[in-house]
Amino acid sequence: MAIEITVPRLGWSSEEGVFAGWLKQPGETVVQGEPLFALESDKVTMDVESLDSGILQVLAGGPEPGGTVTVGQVLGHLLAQGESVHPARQCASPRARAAARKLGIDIATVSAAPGANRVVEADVLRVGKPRGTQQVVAARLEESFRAPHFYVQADADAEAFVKLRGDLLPILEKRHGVRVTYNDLLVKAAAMALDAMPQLNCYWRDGTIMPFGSVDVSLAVQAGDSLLAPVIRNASKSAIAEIAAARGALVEKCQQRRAVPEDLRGGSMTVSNLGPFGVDRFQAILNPPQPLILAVGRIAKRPVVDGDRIAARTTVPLSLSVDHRVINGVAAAQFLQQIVSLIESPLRLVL
Amino acid sequence: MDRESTFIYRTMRLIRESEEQLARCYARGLIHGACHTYVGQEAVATGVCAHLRPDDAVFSTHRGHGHALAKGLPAAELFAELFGRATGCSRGRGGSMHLFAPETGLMGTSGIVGPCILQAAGAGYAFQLARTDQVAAAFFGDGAVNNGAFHEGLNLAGIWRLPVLFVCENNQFATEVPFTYAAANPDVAARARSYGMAGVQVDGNDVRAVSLAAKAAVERARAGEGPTLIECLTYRTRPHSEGMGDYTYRTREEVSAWRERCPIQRFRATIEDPAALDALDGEVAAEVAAASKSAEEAAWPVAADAAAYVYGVERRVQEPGPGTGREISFVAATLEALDNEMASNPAIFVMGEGIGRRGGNFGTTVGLFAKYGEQRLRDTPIAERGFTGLACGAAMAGARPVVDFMFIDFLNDAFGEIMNQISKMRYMSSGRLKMPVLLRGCIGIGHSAATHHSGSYYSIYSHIPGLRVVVPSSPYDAKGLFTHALRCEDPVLFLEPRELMSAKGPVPAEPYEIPFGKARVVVEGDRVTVAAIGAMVPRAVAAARQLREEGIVVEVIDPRTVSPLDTDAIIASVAKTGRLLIADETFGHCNLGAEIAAQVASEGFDFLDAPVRRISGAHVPTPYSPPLEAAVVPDTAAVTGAIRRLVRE
Repeated sequence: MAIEITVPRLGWSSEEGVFAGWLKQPGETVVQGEPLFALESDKVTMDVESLDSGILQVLAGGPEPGGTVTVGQVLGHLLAQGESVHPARQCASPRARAAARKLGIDIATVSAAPGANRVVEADVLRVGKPRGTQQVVAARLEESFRAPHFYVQADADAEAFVKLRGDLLPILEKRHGVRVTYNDLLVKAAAMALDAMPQLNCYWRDGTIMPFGSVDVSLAVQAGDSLLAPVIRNASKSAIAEIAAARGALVEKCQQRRAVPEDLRGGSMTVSNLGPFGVDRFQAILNPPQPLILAVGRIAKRPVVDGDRIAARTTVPLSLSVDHRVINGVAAAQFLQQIVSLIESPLRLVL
Repeated sequence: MDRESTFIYRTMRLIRESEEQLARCYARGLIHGACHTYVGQEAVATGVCAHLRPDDAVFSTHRGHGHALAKGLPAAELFAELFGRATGCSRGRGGSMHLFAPETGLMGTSGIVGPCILQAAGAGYAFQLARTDQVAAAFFGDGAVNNGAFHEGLNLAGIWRLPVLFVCENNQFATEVPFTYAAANPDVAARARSYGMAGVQVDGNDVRAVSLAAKAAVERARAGEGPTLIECLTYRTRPHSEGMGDYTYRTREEVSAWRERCPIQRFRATIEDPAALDALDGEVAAEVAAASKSAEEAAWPVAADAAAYVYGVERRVQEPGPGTGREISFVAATLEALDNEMASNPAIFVMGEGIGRRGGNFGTTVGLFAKYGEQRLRDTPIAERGFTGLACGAAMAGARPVVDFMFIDFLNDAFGEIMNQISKMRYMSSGRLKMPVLLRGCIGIGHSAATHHSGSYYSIYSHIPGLRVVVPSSPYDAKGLFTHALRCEDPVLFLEPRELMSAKGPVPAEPYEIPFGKARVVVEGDRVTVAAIGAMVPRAVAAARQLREEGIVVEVIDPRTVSPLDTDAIIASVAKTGRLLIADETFGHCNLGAEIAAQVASEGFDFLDAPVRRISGAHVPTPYSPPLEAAVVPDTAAVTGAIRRLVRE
């Protein structure tokens, strides 16, 4: 008898997830325990293992990768040899189809309400709410805003920093096959600053200050329509080429929605660089429970007072957001000074 | 030669030359449809029209080229019409059988045998009402005299002493059926006695004889002494229609014998100065040649204009809203509207059975007879086809008839007059004839009225282009729509749900209009739309009130007019609710609900969250016994149940 393959309830609170694709081909024999399909939610993609064995039959009109699915939704069947199923066609009203088109939702991924035999507009709108990951992001941002923020800001002279990156680029590309970015150098600078001030490597939990076990730096990454912050581990101890390689792999996973919880978990602070998007300066809100986030602006020539003259210098605006429950103003200022110093005298980043 | 003789000879020659040239053109393929010639009968049209003024009205038949030319239609416009050109007298909308030139008094020729008799009577009624000395003439063949229109039309003209000439061209064949076979009493003129009018039989190929009879008849009519029936014995010497065989029903010998009795040759023989006639011959030949040539060169009508002239231009009017003032009944509301319009427009007159002194079976004209008199509140014999056809002619001649049918089931006896004549006339005349005819009567099932007093039929009449169909459900709507109907240019079928006629509601005292094609949202809601018509409106409102207590907020829309139909309003409501129930008391098969459903499925498809559902009357003639009657008409509970099922879908 055909066994239904349904969307399992995973460890997220939402009733919905994003279908990330089949890991078996239709018609392929699936053995119990083998990864069968991938689901994404709460910024993670998980392989779902088959609970049974059989020949995979994918439901006609089932979800495409990227489509929203609800817990319990039937995705396909596991069949015995020679068996076939003709699942009842699920109807959708014209209004529901129009709403789905408008919202960019695959109507086949929307289920009718219990007891109803037709998907109606209300069902689509329910699915069309911000997707699982986006909901998680929203909840985390709300949590973030509850942390009492303050901000310290400074412009670092980036002449040497830009030159260093320019010098490193061909060398590391040739030697290690990686393209070094400013972000790699900024992650390293943040990690080194934290290493130098371990009293800042901690976070607020239920009224007490708890230490982080290691110095790991998160990097804000745009993946499709969501914001992720994969973690670059032990950045202070890693060479720039290693950081670049780790960063490259993580960004690719995020963009392909293949990031796993391990890639996103932890992190002492976050670096968020909107300079490439033409932003001169901005203030970021914290990525809880981290107490620090460094907002990096556009690296550009700006007028700088040099003695009694005004000179054109390449600078990078930095803004550090701080959780005041954990870190006071002077400590934050010193921390930012550390980073400015590392950017202005960047050789230490590669030594 | 005197003026009359010149007119007679020239006109007969013009008809003959034109017909023979048209026959050639038919053979060349210049004429696209039928071509019925008048060859051999020229003396009839000519002899009668010799005594008509341009402001007298002529109504004619499918064999009408001769009447049109005799009444003054330029030959070029006749040719252009048969050639299907934009300069034709009907702008290419008619062809041989549908010639319109109201500016010359040619009110129209018709492809249906009989209605011209009723229309001439109607024009006579309009002239009588307007107190002019104009007369109307109907030309018809022997084929028409065994038709009900002849009997009803002559009887109406007889009882009302209408200024009309009924000219029967007895050419002895109704297409191919011999009159001697078709008529139990083949003496047509003698039938005049049955209708209390003068009757005379003349040799229809002797133009002097025809002319003498017509002269007397026209004088009688202008003097207010009533109608005349003139039977002209004649013969057409060409086939019924060009291209048709001719000798299955008559012989070559018979046709040849009648050719010998050519009315033109006979007239020519009486004229002492043939040179004058030769000059006229040359003039006519040149005129016909020029007409044919100009028509052949004339422009074709523009395809984009094919739908022009179906309706008059709707005047923009603003409705005031019912307000909260005085409350009067549905019937009182229409009576108020009728009284008000009759006071200001002397062209309005009402016809119907018992609408005079009695004031109408439903009190639709109470008090008006005393105010406006017999001529404007005209009791009729039970002759629905007759007085409906008469209303058509009256409207064509400038009056504004209101026909009160009491029960609309009776109107079905006049179906052809409504479908073929009243509704099409504006279009056929390319907008030159306005047709402000108001047809009213009650509709709907209830009170064991049984099948001949329970019909609605608006679905059938909505199908007809040129006709407006109004179904109000409240006194406020009734007064505003009735007033609008009496001020618009188009024929209106005004249907009054009998179950609602005594219901009261707020109605502003002053005159106001409600435009056609504008629905009313009776109850606002967002969960499901109910489009309800006529008596179903209050049932839908009751259902909505009940369901609101269950949390189902229903929107009720009353289209108010079913042609034009405000589908935009219904679709806008469905855009809000996603669900549509149509409540229409009429039989479901092909009813208005089916049209609404199709429109919404087509234009509002993406708004639908569930199938469009309908509740309709059962597809049976309405039975008498209360339990049987109740079983065929949807009640409030049926509406409520249908809504509950629909919101669950």
